[in-house]
Amino acid sequence: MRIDLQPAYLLHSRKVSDSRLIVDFMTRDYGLLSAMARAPTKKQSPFALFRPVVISWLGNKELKTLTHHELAAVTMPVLQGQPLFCGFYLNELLIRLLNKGDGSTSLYEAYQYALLHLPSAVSPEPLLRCFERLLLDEAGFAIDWHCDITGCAIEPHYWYRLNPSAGFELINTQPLSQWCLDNRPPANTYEGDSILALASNQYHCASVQVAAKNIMRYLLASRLGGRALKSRELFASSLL
Amino acid sequence: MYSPLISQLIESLRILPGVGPKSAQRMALQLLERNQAGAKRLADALMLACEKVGRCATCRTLTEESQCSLCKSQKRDGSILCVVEMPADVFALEQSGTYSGKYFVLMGKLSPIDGIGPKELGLDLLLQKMLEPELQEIIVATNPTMEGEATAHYIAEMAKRNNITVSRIAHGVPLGGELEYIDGGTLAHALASRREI
Repeated sequence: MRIDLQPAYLLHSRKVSDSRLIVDFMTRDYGLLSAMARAPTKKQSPFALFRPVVISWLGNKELKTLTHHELAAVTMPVLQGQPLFCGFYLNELLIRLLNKGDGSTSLYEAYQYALLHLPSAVSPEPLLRCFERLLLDEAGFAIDWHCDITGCAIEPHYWYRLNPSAGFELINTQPLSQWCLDNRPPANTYEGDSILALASNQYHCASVQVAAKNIMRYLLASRLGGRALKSRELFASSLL
Repeated sequence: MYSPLISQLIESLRILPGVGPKSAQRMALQLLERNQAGAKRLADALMLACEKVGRCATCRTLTEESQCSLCKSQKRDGSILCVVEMPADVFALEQSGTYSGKYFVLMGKLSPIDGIGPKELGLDLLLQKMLEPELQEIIVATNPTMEGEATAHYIAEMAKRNNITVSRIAHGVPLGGELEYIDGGTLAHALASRREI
C-alpha cells in the first residue's frame, strides 16, 4: 500500500543505525504510524517534533517505509518552556495509549488544536483534559460521563466513586458535611456537578479543574499498567 | 566462509558506527594480514580503556581519573559552568578556544518517551553544583532540538530558583551560510535572537 502526502506530526524518533531511524507519526487519516526512515541529509529538513509535516510511505506491515517527508506550509507557534513540556506529555500519552493504526482525524485535530493554543493559553489544564478525554475514548477506554454504573443519570449534588473499568458508582446522596466529619471527600470520590462539567468539557471552575485532574490521573494510571508517565517529572509543580 | 575466530572479529567490528559487513571484513583482514602489532595495540588499548574509563565525579564526562583534567585545572574559571549533552560537545567547545569555564555533561537530553527524565541526566548533581557559592553563571549548550530546548528550559528554571544567571548559546544562520537555503524555523530563531551591531 502506498500513501502519498499525508499530513502528520512526528511524535518520536530513534536511531537504529547511522543512516536509519524509526519514526512514529500521528497522521491525519491513518492514526498512529511507525515507519523506517533514512536519516535526513543536510539538504533535507530534519525530523522535528511539534511541526506539521506531510509524509509518504509504503508497506503493508506494521512498520512502514517512509519515502518522503517535508515541512507543511503551515506556520505553528514554537513551543517553549511549560507548553513544550505539555507537548512532550501529549506525545507520550499518544505513544503509550494507542496501538499502531489507532486514532482518528478528530484526535489528530485535537492534537493540532492543543499545539496551536498551548503557547497562548492562560492555563494549559483545560486543553490537556479535553485531549485526555478524547484520547481515552479513542483508545477504547471510554466511560459514561452522564450516567452512573446502574444507568441512572448523574445528579449534581450526589457523590460518586470512580471505578476505572465500569464508571461512576453512587456512594452518597447527602451533602458532604452530613456524612464526612472533616468535610473532605474520601479518595477517588467526586461530586456530581464536577463529573457533569467534565462531561461537557467545562473547566472554568477551580474545583472542577482539580476533580478533572484527579479523575484523569486515576483513569490514565489504570490504563498505563503501573508504569508512570515520564513526562510528568518535567513539571516542577503538580500541573498534570 | 571464514574460520570462527575471524568471523567473530568481523562481527565484533560491526558494533562501530558506520561499519557494515564489507567494511568490517576489510578492517579484520587488514589487521590480521598486514598489521598484527597494531591489532595487539588496539586490543590492549580497548581492554585498558574499558576497564579504567569511568565518569568524572564533578562533571560526569568520560575519564580514567576520579576527576577529569578540566575540572582539576586551576586555570579554569569556576564561576561559569557550561552544560552540554555529550563528552564530544566538550571537545567541540574546547576546540573553539574561547571558553575558559568548567563543564557539566548530561550524557543525554530529556526524552520522556525514551524513559530519560531529570533523574537519569544527573540533574540532582547539577543542583548540588548550583548550591556552591563560587558558581555565578550557567551557559546551557544543549542541541537546538526540541528535546535540547526542553532540557535547557528545565535547567534554566533550576538555575533561576537558585539565583544563578543562566544563558543559552545562540542559534541561527551558520557562518558562510546563505539565507535562501535556510529553513523558516532557523530563520525565525535567528531573527528572534538578533543583536545590535
